Formats: sequence, structure tokens, C-alpha cells
Amino acid sequence: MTAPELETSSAEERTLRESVREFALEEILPRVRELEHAKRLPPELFRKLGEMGLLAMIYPEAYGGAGMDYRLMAASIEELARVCPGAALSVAATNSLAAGQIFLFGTEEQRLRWMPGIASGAKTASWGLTEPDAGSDSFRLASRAERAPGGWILNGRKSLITHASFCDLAVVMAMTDAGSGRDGITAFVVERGMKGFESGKTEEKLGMCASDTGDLVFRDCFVPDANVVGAPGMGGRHALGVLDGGRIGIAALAVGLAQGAMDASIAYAHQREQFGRPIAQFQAIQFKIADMATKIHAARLMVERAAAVKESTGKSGHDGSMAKLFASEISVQVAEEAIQIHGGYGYTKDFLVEKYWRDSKLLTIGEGTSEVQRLIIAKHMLA
Amino acid sequence: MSQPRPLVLVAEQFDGAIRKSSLQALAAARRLAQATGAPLRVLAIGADAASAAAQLGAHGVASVEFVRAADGAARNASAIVPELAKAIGAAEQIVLLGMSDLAADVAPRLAARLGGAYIADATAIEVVDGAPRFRRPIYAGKALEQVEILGKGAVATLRANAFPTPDSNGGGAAQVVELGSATGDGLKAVVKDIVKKSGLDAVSLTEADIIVSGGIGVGGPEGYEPLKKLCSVLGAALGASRAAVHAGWIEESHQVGQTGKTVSPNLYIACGISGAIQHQAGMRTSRCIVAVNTDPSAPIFQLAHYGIVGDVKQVVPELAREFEAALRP
Amino acid sequence: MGINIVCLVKATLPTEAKIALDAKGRAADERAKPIINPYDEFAVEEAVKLRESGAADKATLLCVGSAKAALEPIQRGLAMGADDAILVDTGDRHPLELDGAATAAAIAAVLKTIPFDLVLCGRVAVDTGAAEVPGRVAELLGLPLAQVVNKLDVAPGRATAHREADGRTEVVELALPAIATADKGLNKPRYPNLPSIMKAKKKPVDTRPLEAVLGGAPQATRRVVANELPPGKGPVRMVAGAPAEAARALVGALRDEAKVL
Repeated sequence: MTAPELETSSAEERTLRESVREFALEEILPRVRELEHAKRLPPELFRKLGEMGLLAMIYPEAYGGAGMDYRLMAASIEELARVCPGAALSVAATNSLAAGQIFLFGTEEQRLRWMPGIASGAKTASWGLTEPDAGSDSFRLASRAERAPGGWILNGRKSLITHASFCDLAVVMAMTDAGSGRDGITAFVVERGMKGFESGKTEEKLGMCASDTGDLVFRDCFVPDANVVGAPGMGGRHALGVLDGGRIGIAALAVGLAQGAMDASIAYAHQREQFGRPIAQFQAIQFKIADMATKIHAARLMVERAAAVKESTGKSGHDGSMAKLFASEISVQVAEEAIQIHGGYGYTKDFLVEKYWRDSKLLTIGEGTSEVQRLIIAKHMLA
Repeated sequence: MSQPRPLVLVAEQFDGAIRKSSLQALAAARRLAQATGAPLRVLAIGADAASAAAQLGAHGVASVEFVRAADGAARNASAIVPELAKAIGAAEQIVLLGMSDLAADVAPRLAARLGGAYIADATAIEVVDGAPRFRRPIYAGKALEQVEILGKGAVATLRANAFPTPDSNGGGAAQVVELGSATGDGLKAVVKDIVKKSGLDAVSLTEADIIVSGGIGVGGPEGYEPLKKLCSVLGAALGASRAAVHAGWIEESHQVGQTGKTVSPNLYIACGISGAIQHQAGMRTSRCIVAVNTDPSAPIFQLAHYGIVGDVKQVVPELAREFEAALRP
Repeated sequence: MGINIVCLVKATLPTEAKIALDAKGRAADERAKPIINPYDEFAVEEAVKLRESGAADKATLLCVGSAKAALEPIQRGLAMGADDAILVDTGDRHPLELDGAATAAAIAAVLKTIPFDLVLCGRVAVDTGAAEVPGRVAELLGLPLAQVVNKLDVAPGRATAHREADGRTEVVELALPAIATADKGLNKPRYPNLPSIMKAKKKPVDTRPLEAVLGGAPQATRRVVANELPPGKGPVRMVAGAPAEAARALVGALRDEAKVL
């Protein structure tokens, strides 16, 4: 099984894909089920991901990054997701969210203070926008920060946050000017150990169990001015910028997940014999594989396009939304067909296709639901 | 085809005896000489000329040329190659050796020195238009190539056991002509020490040539003991099925299958493994699969090349005994 | 002052390639992309480790192959930490067309143009399976050679190699400059990390056409007449009898018929 690639793939991209795939097969595949049951990635695996350079792919070396472009980042996330979507989710979130906000909108001092730790895996980061009552309506925040001498007093609760139970730091959006809506939001870096900051409940989820999801709770938590990222009031706009890049990561994750489910289906179709021959020889199976391959191929091209647009304009925009919408939707379809190809075995935990399917569903929801992506696309089309 | 190229067989003496692979190569060389009408010289390299002459004589060789390689030179290709090249001479000819670790080291260098082709690890030789055509594996045995020699002669190694072992015909000792003596002096590569190995190191599962694998049919954790014995006889790695790993009988690092390791050894011996599709995924590309199972309808027999219906506890110790006898040099 | 190491790397098909005969009857897997010969990775890892430890100053890759096929092994070796690379470009030739004698001649010719103390390569290329080139290079350049090495210590002016041969461990001392071929126990090759992969593309690759290196066209010593696939698997052969009897028959069949012993 060689890495999927386009004829235009550079030698560099091939080396990268092979290297990430070998890493995933060796360090993650043998413990895919174990990670799922542990409901988180262990610190030691975070360090390995950091050593591999997977946690800060698109940032300059000065901040511990790998100095890659979005296309290569997408290829890496895809290769990880092909083996373990849950681990890929943690990686995609680490790359795009907290690190993205600090890199794009933080001061030089803030970048040097937090990014190397995130890049090396020594510090785990969360990013907090979503609240119990603010999902797709993401700027109706109930979290509040009020001025205090030398800083701010933060109160509120963030929900459905990746790495919530063990993060060392979190970039958190809170209202600082309640009357101004999106323009009244400020971003703060909250660090573990700050008084009044703790992790709330951890969610029991359908899939993506290797990546922990839970609440962050702030009760009169004092955050010094040095921990404000970007100008006060700009946090909402900045968060949108962060999500614009994050979509490429999630779309790449969806492509990798679908590829992994198809890899498993092809291998199974060759092995499984019914009516005296491998089921790969039946058109019913062949057509399914053909459809899977076509969908994956289209989604991958869309991810590459979105990455190129992001690279050249700084914003993936509707290209990113289209890639995220399409890739996440087809990942659910492909994973479901993968179970069908496996028949009864596909429904058992002896095979991984049931897990791909459970994992896939998150992708049409996280970092902007399919409906939100459609709104962004429609807004562009109808403008 | 003009004159057939003369043949030279180089026999290797190892631990006082001519190697079995050398005797196999001798028989192959004789058949080739008969088929092409080429003359055949027999050379031996080793420490004991008299013993080599006796053993080769017993295999019908009338005259043997001997190159002495003892002590510091015995295992040193740097010492052996120049002496051997001198003894063989520069004529256009085909030099045949039975494959061994020493032959693998010596033969390509000899080819470079004599100025011809090197044919590595041939598994068959046929004669086409009066000239030998060698068949040898490429891509780890997934394909074969048929090769002819161009221009100058060639050195060829013949894979051990790919050619039949000739029987001794009880002839008297061959006449010996000593041609030279390799010395270990003044060399840039010196074999300082030779350590006979005690016990086998753990063999990597994915890279092993032979894997002995056990499933639920071994009966319990203690059921792996006879399999381990068989592994040490064969220099094999130990594998296991998912069911046995889940039962806690053996560590997960041994698991072969969909959620374990994917392996492709030359020989896979599945002991008490039913052959669930999960397991097949990890081992079905093995070159030769042997299954031992009490259930004749176990799916593993569909995949296997050879099968024995029987209890692992009884069959495996017998296999260990038989393999040990068969592998004795 | 450390030594200079040259690593011979080759592009081969991955070991999991599905080999079939192509339209010209040649064994190939048209869908598989060439990778670095797996045993050469041990050689590169050893060279990079020696450089990291300070025992070596420089690790140079040397690859004979088509520019297209060689891209990946060179990229991989550079990403693992080699400093630069020399490619002897064989043009449009089929990967197995150039024989061992010509390959060794090209390698020896390049080695005459650069300073080196140690040449490392894999013990065998998994495509040809011949293990022919290192011995020839050693003869062409008069270098001491240790093959199938699973432990290597480098000291000023010499190297000590451990190799498994004919069931024993041989300890071989080599006067530098020398060649050693790597077996799998030598080390655990790293997978290059992402920053290293990004840095690799900035490292120099010196491409030299084969004809220029050899001073003319390569001379073939052998000709491949045909390729074929091994016979497919027939039905299972059940070996009957009491355990001892069945075991004897089975071992005999594995030795004489299947030829796997």
C-alpha cells in the first residue's frame, strides 16, 4: 500500500507522506483501540508527535515549527487520519487553533513564550470559542471578562473543547464589551495553575474518542494583560480568521479518514471469498469502490485547491468551506459503505471500519457544521 | 555457439567438511559439463587438503586443485579472493560456487577480479544453444529472471538446496594439486574474532524468513513452549493469533493479522490457528504456508500449501525433531 | 577531525509491491513508486549517527539510477540527515537494465573524484537480490570490505565490524578507507521528521550523466533473456499419518519440493 498521490506530487510531498504514514503505522496503529478507550492521547505520544514536527507544521522554525505550507500540512493530517482519525483531530486542532491565534495575532514575545512548547508537545493547548448556548451562533458569548488592575477577571464556561481535561493552556474568547457583539470579544491565554481556571466534565462521545473533549470553567479567574492576544475587541474577528485555516485541516482529516476506510475495504474485498471467489470480483463491490475512490479524489483536489488559495491570499474563504463541506460529507458516506462491504464483520470491533464511521460524523459538525459552510458558500455566491 | 566455456567448480570446506551446497553445485556443474561438452575443473578451498580430497573423491572427483585457507585467512574473503583468482586463471570460463555466507562475500569480488558477470543465487540452470542459461529470483522471489552470460565468463553462486544433493559413490580419494595458500597477513581487513552463537536472539517478526505462529489450538500459555523450541531450531520468529493474544497467553508484540503485524516470510507455520480472515490479512502473502490444526475444515487449510490434521502438542515436537535432522549441515 | 562517509543508496520497489509481467514481459509493479532500498536506510542511519556523534564530518549520498526514480531515495536520505547527494543519472534505462558490473564501475569512478574514508550501503538491494556491487567496488578501488554488518565501531583510521556469517559472529577490523554493508540489526532507521524534510530540499544534489562518469557507454556482462512469475499456489497438500510420520513427510516436502529450507 503506497501513499495515495497525484502525479504532480513533489518528491518532498512523497517523502513527507511516507514518513508520516510510517510514524502512524508504527506509533499509533498498534494502539488505536487503546487510545480510544483511554479517551485521550497520552503525553508521551504528544511528545512524539512534537518530535516528528506534526504539532506546528505551518509555522516558522523560530517558533518550533516545521516551516511547511498548507498543502503539505493537509497531506500530513491526511496520512495521520488514514490510520487514526482521533489522533489526527488532536493534531489538526493543535496546529490550527490555539497556535494559529497566537501566531497570527499575538506579539513576538507571546509567540516565543507559548509556541515552542506547543510545537514540541511539552504543552498541550486548547482553543475555547464554543459555549453551552453558543455553537453555530458562536459570538453570543456568555463568558465575560471585566477590567481589573493589571489584567482581567474572567467568568464563564466553554464546552465541547478539544483537550479540555488536560490542556496546559487555552486561548479563550470572552465578551469584554457586551454591547458590541462580535466586536466586543477579546482573546485571552489562560494557563493551567491560574486560580479560578479548571477543567469541567469530559464528554462521552460517539467517535473521535482518542481526542478528549470537555468543558473549561472560569470562576473569577485573573488573567494578566500580558496574556491578551490581539487588541481587546478583536478576538471575534481573529477567531474567524483562525477557523478559516482550520477548515483545511478538518477537510484533509476527512479525506484521510475516507482513504483509510477505502484501504480497509479494498484489502477486505480481495481477501473475503463468497460464492467461490473474492468479493472484489463482484460488480456490486466494484461499483462501491469506484464511487469511494472518485469521491475521495474529488475531495482531495478540493483540499489542495483550498490550501493553494489560503497560501496565495491568506484566506481560504468559500474554497475552504466547499472543501470542508464536501470532504466531511463524503467521509461519512465512504465510511458507511466500508461497513457495508465488510458485511457482518464490518459491524464488529474486530475491524476498524466501524470506528472510521463513528469518527467520521464529527467532521460534518466540528469547526463549523455543514450548514455553516453552506451559509459561507451561499453568501459568496449571492454577493 | 563456438567452444563451450570451461567450467570451474569451487568447493568450500567448512568446519572440516565440504559443504552440502558445494556438493549440490558439484552435481549441477557435472550435469552442465555433460550437456555442453565443456571441461570441468574442481577446486577446493579450506584447511585440510586430505579430507577434501577424500570427500570429493567419494563423490567421483578424480583430481582436485586445493587452495589452502586456514587460520586467519579461513573466513576472510580479502585473503581468499586473490589466491582463488590466481588459481583459477584469467581464461574465459564459468566458475560455480554453492551459496553460503562466505561464498556470498567471495563470489562478486572474484567476478570483479576475473572480469566477468556475477550470477547470484541461481535456482536452476538449463542449456540453450550450447550455453548455460541461469534462472534466479528477483523481487524477493516474486519473479524470476533468466540470464545469459555475455562477453567474458562469469562467477555464479547456486542457491543451497535448489539443486539435489548427490549421493556418495564410495570412490577413493581424489588426487590433490595444491595451488596456493591464502594468508591473513598484511591485509586491510582482518577477521579478529569468531564467536559461536549461544542461543538465538529474538528474531524480528516482520523481517523473519520463517515464522512459527500459535493460536488457540496450542491450548494455553504453556502451549507456546514447544513452538519456541521449534523457533530456535529454525531460527524463526514467534507469531500468534489475535485470539491467543486476547486470551493473555502471549504478548501483543507477537500478534499477526489485521490489527497486528503483516508478515511475508518464506515459510509460515500456523499451529492451532483456525485462520480467521482477520489473521489471514496479516500472513497470506507468505511464500509457503503450513497449517497444523485438529479441525480439517479450518479455513487456514484453504490458504495453506501443506497441511497436517493433528494436535499441535503432538505434531510440533515431532516437527522440531525432523527439522533439526534436516538442517544438520 | 571526523571522517567523510559516502552512503550508496538505490531506488527499489517497496517489498509489498505486487509484481506482475508488464507489456514487454518484464517483472514490474507499474503502480508502485520506487522507494529507498530498505537496507540502505540502515546505512544512511549509521552515517547520520556517526556524524551526530562527531565521529564523521559529512555524509554524502551516492545514487545510480534514473533521475525520476532516484528522487525519492535521495530526498529520503537527505531528510534523514545526509548532507548532500551525487546522482549518477542513468537516463531512461529500465531500473534493472544496468548490471552490477556497470553500476560498480560508475560508483568507483565517482568515488575517485571525492574524498571519503568510509562507504556504507545496504547488504543487498531487494529488487535484484544479488549483493553484487559492494564486492566489485571493493575490488575496483582496493578497499577492505565487511559485509552484512550488524554492529560498527569507528575509531581513527579503522573500523570494527560485527557480522553474522554461517551461524557465527565474525569480528572484522578494517583499515580506513573501507566499505561496510549494513544488515537490519545495525540500528533503527529514523523516520525523518517534518522540519528535516523541509530542510532536505535545500541540500545540494550533484547530477552527473552515466556516460560522462564512465567515459563511454556501459559494458554489459550479462543479458536478461526473460522474466517469469513463479508458479501459483495449487490446492493444499494434506500430509497424512501419525505425528512423527507426518512431520517427517512434511519436512521432506518443504526441503525437496517447496525448497524453503
